[in-house]
Amino acid sequence: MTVLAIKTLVSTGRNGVGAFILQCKKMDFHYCDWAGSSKGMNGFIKSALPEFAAAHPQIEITVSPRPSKHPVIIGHYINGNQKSICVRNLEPLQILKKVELLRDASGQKLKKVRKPVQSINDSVRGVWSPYHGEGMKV
Amino acid sequence: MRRLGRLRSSASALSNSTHPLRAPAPAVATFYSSQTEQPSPHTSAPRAWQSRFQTTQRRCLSSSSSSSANNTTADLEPTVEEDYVEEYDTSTESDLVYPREVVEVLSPEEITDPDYVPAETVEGLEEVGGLADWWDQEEHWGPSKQYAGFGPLEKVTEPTVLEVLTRRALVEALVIKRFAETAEKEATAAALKAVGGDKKGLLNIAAVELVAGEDGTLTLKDEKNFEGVWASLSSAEADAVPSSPPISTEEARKLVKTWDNEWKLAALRDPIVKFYVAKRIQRLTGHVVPDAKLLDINTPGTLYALLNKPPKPKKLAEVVQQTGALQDLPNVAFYPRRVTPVDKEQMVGRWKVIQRELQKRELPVTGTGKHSKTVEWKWAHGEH
Repeated sequence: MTVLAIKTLVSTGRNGVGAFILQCKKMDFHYCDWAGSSKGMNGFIKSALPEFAAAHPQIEITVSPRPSKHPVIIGHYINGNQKSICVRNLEPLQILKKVELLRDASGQKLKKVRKPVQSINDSVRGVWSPYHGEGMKV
Repeated sequence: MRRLGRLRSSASALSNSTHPLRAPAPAVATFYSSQTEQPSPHTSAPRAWQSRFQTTQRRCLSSSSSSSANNTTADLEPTVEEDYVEEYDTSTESDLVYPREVVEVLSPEEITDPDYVPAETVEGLEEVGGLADWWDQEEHWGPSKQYAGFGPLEKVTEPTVLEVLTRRALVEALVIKRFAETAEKEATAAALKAVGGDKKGLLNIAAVELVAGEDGTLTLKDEKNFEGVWASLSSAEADAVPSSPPISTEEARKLVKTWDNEWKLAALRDPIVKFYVAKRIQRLTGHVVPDAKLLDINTPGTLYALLNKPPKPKKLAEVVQQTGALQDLPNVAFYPRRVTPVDKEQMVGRWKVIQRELQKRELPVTGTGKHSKTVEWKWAHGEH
C-alpha cells in the first residue's frame, strides 16, 4: 500500500501539533558496473547506503544497475511527483548530501519564496482594529 | 628463397655484355651449375612447393668488384674469384603439417571414362581443396609451436592443494638457497625449473618438517633433508609442466591436518629465499607473486594468504551479496540486472493483461514488429 497524503489537515504542521509524514516515499539508485562515473556511487552503495536505509525504514529503496549510463538517484514523493539527480563523478559523501536533499524535499515544484515567513494559518488574535474593543482614553 | 643474383656493377655488366662467351655472368653461371635440372619457363610439371624447404639450396651472392672504370684490363677479366657461394641446409626438422601436393586434374577431353558427364552448373558440385584457412587450424601447427608457459596454464585455486604446494616451494627454496652458491649453475637452474613430478616426490618433500630456527627464521628441522631434497631437485629432468597437481584435494586435506601452524608463523626475511619461493610457486601453482608484494611477505602465512586470496568480484551485485549488508533490510530491494519496463509491469501484475490485449489486437508484444519506421523511411530506402 503506497503512502498517500492524508486529505484532512492532520498532516499539516500546526505549531507543533499534528503528525509528521515524510514526503519522500521511495528512492531508486541506479549505477553502472563498468563506467568510471559510477565509482563514487558504487562506493556509496557499498558503504553508506546500508546505514541510510536502516535509518529511514519509511523510504522504500531499490538498487539496480543501468549499464552504460551515468548513476542517478530518483526520489518519489507522496504527491506523485518524482525528482532525479545525476550523481556522476561524485564522491560517496557528496552523494549522501544529495540523498539527504531528496529525502527532505517536499516533492512540490520549486517556488520563489518572497516572504521571510510563510504561514498557512492566520493569527488567532485576528487583525487589530482601532474601532473594536474598549478603546483607549486619550 | 628467391633465386636472384645480385645486380652487378656497371663495369662488370659491361664486361659480360662485350664478351659473352669468354666471360659469362659468374653469378648466373654458378646458379645454374648448382641445379640438377635447368628450370625452363615452359615446364608445366607441378612442383611440390614444400620441397623448397627440403632441398639444399645455394645462394649466389655476387660481390662485384669496386674497380674503377679506368682499369680496363681488370674489367675484361671475369670476377669469378670474387663470387662466393653460401650453402645452407633448409631441410631442418619441422613438425608443421603442410598441405598435400597440387594435383592437376585431366581436362574433359582427356577423360576416357564413358560414364563421365561434365557438369553444366556449379550447383551441387562438391567443393574440394582450398588453403585459405589451412594455417588457422590448430592441428596443422606442430606441438613445438604451441605456447608453453613457465607455470601451469590454469592456476591452482584449491586451498588445501595450494597449501601443500606452498610448503613444498618453501622447502625447495630453502634448499636451493643453501646450495646455489657452491653448486654449478646448471644444477641450480634445473632445480628452479623442476616440475611438480609424481605424487611420491611431492609427499616426500612436503613431509620435510619446517620450523623456526634460533633467530626465528624459517628453516628445515633436520639437516639431512637438505642433501636429500637437493639431490632430487638438481637431478630433475627438464619436463613439461603438468596441467594438474599430482595430489588430489582429499589427500591434500589429510596431509594438511597433520601439520601444525608453527611453520606459517616463522619469519621469512631473506630476499633471495623469497625470490626462489616466488619462482618455485610460479612453476608449481601458476601464481605469479609480484616483486612489490615480496616486501610485505614476512612469514609463510602471509605468502599463503596472498595466494589463497579469492578473486576480486567483478560486479557490485556480487560484492553486496558477499557482504550481505543490504540483505536484512526490509525496505531495500537489490536487483542484480537492469530493471526493464517489462519487469516493472510484472511487479505490479499488469504484464499479463498487457500481453493479452496486445495479442487480441494482433500487435507485437515486444518490439515494434512491422510498424517500425515511417512510410517515408521505407520509400527513401527503396522498400515498398
